Amino acid sequence: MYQIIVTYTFVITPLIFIIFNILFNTNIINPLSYLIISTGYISMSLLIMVLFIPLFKAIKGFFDRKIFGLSAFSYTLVHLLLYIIDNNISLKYLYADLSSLLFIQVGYIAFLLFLPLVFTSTIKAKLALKNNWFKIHRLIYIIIPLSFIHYYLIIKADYLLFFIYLIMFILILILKKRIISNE
Amino acid sequence: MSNKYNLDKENSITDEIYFRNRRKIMSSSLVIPFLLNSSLFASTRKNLPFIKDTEFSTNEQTNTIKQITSYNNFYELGSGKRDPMFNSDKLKTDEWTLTIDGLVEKPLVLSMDDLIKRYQLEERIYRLRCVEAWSMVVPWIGFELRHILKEVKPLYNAKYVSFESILDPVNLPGQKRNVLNWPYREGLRMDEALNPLTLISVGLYGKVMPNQNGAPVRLIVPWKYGFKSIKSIVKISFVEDEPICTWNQQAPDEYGFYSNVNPYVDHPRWSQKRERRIGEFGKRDTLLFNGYSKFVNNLYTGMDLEKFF
Repeated sequence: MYQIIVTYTFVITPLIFIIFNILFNTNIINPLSYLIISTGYISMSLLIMVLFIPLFKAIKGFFDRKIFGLSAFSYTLVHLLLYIIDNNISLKYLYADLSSLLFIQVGYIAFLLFLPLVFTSTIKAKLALKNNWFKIHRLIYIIIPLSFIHYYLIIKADYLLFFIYLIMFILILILKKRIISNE
Repeated sequence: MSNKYNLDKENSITDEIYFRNRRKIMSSSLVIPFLLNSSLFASTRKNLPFIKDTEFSTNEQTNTIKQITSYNNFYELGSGKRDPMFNSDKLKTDEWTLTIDGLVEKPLVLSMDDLIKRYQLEERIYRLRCVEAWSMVVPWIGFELRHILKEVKPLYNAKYVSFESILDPVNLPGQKRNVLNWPYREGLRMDEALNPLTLISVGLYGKVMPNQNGAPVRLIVPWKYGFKSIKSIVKISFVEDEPICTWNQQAPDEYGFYSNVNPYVDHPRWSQKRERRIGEFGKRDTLLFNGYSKFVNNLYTGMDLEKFF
């Protein structure tokens, strides 16, 4: 039970924070852009957390990874919906973007790859799919780099935060490899 | 009376009275704002004397002072949109001078006092279109760059004007890292610099320039993407060859020397067809030359705008 509470606190806090900012922070001048950018960062961070948590026995027990993954997807979905709203919900605009902009195409691919993970997130699906379930959920190793590329492609000059995300991801992969080889 | 100005409550009462009386002020042709500036209307930024332009200004709704001063791209003060506002005190503008040199008959060094008094200041309400596909409408205070040109008399071989921003890595947080190749530099072709739209701006909303908007003196070229309108200028040089421009140097295939607002030439990574006017919900279509075709078309006749983007 405490696991659920800790996890939900963790994933809902950023939501409360951005809603509070939208409602009360008068320094937010371009709210839609603020929301799109924040939900993007939150999704990437939660995806990183999904990989990070099981590496450390000390924190493993506090979190429910499934809720983390599903929350990452929820933020991604909101991110996508806000982008659609940002484009006046115009199919013409959305198609123009999809047909010509690489960062948009990469974003859609990452989103689509996310879907099988969401639909197989139940215990029932896990039991039914057996080993295939793990194969499907390894898609996260494609989704994360795609989301990074999606982010990288809209940076103008300041790559600092991008490199922080990238280094975290690489460190996680290295740690994971070590743990596996030790076992 | 039209209520075109979109003033924030916190934007001191001076502005309100000031702008609501604009018609009267215009008829007197010269504003003496100091008369209005009593301690009753205490404001941190000084009022500027100016006349109102009617030829080049748009009558669109202006963005609020709050919007104009809270959403900025000024990498010297940080690369986030709100960083320039939070770090505005890090830009030191005391004893500022603007040096005008290079291929000119009479080089010139202007103090801040000169910049405010030497040329008749006017208010120009311009659209500003950022390369990131958002836009604002800003009531700048300034004078045409060509007034300086008349005074320094460029030599026959001066074909371009180069601009340089402040370099102060000790105080400017953004210059502590090489996010861009500091100092920030920009340039214009001579005929672009002579265009009456091209403004040297020392303020906005009737007052001296807020730090986050490029105090104390900046360039405004409203038909080009915002990054061409270099902030906090310390030097203007007249040169023979196309000058180095910071963003062009950063990514030559993304930010051209001209960087005219053009919905038909996309940025390689994002679209330039539409823009968000800050404060509006939906997006609007971007106009060629940011809607200033009438004034700048002749500068680019016969030029391939896709090649010279």
